Amino acid sequence: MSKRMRLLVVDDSKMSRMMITSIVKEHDDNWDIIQAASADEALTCSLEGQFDAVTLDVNMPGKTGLEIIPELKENLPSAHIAVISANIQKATTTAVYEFGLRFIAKPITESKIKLFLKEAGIDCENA
Amino acid sequence: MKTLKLSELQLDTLAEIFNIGIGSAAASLSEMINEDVQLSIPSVSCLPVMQASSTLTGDQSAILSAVEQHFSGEFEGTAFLLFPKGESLELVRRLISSDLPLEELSEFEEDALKEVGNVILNACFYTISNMLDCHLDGDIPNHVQGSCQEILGRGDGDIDEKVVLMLSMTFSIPSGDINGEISYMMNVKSMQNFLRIVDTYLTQIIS
Repeated sequence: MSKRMRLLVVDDSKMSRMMITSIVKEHDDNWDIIQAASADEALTCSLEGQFDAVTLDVNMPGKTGLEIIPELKENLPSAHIAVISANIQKATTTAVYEFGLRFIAKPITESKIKLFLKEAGIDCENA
Repeated sequence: MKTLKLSELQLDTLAEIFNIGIGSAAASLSEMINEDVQLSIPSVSCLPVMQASSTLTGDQSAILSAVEQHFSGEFEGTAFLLFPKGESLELVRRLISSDLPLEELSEFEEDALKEVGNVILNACFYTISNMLDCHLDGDIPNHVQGSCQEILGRGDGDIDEKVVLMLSMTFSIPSGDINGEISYMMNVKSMQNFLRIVDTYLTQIIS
């Protein structure tokens, strides 16, 4: 039996959290998905257990996604993190790449999420 | 006076759709002015026109500079991009990279703001149309000035039959302290058609 995978979905939009959850679950039911509606909630989740992958929004009430990346990476050293944002300006994408992370432009689509999991080597075929 | 109550999930979905539209528009605007554009967290509310007008500007007599663009398709109405008058001129200054005093910038204001409106409002139309799989046609944008009530009160039809889908999302340019807001005004029937399309989209996501 394959090991269960854990995904942390961080987004202040319920719709976006639902979409990512639905896409990943449909792709492979082997994922346990935890949702966080803010950067602070995400940090709390990151202290409570390890994750294989994280999708992280940028513009959220309170801290932005970019602000918590260093702490998130420290708490979740083996997690594959993708920053998913509608803010597609160069300043944002450059900051994400400087952290060595993937950037996915919203809108969220099935192909973008599947590609992230595949490229990270953590989709169902590689898990 | 007409009102419509939107569910929490409908409001969340609309906020996210506009967030994506404005995110894309901000990237274009950022390239036009060669500066990072900061975006606030979007929030959406649906209000009668008079109430929207007083919410948008605390000072009823404040003069706004706006771009309006009529749209039609599976639902129809008018989209507005609104700036306080002084801030719109500062944006024009950024666009044409000029040191001209504000008074002299006025002659460029109409053209420059129509171009900004064209970029931002069309990015939102495109995102709505693309995500919700519906057809929307936008007319040529038009520049208008006046109090918020005067701007929202323009056009055909009874103002009491219309509602404003008010998107409170400011995009600001730190060096110019420029803040813009976007609103969509529709009659109640159009708004109901729009919400039906949003509900269909949500059903598809959940299923």
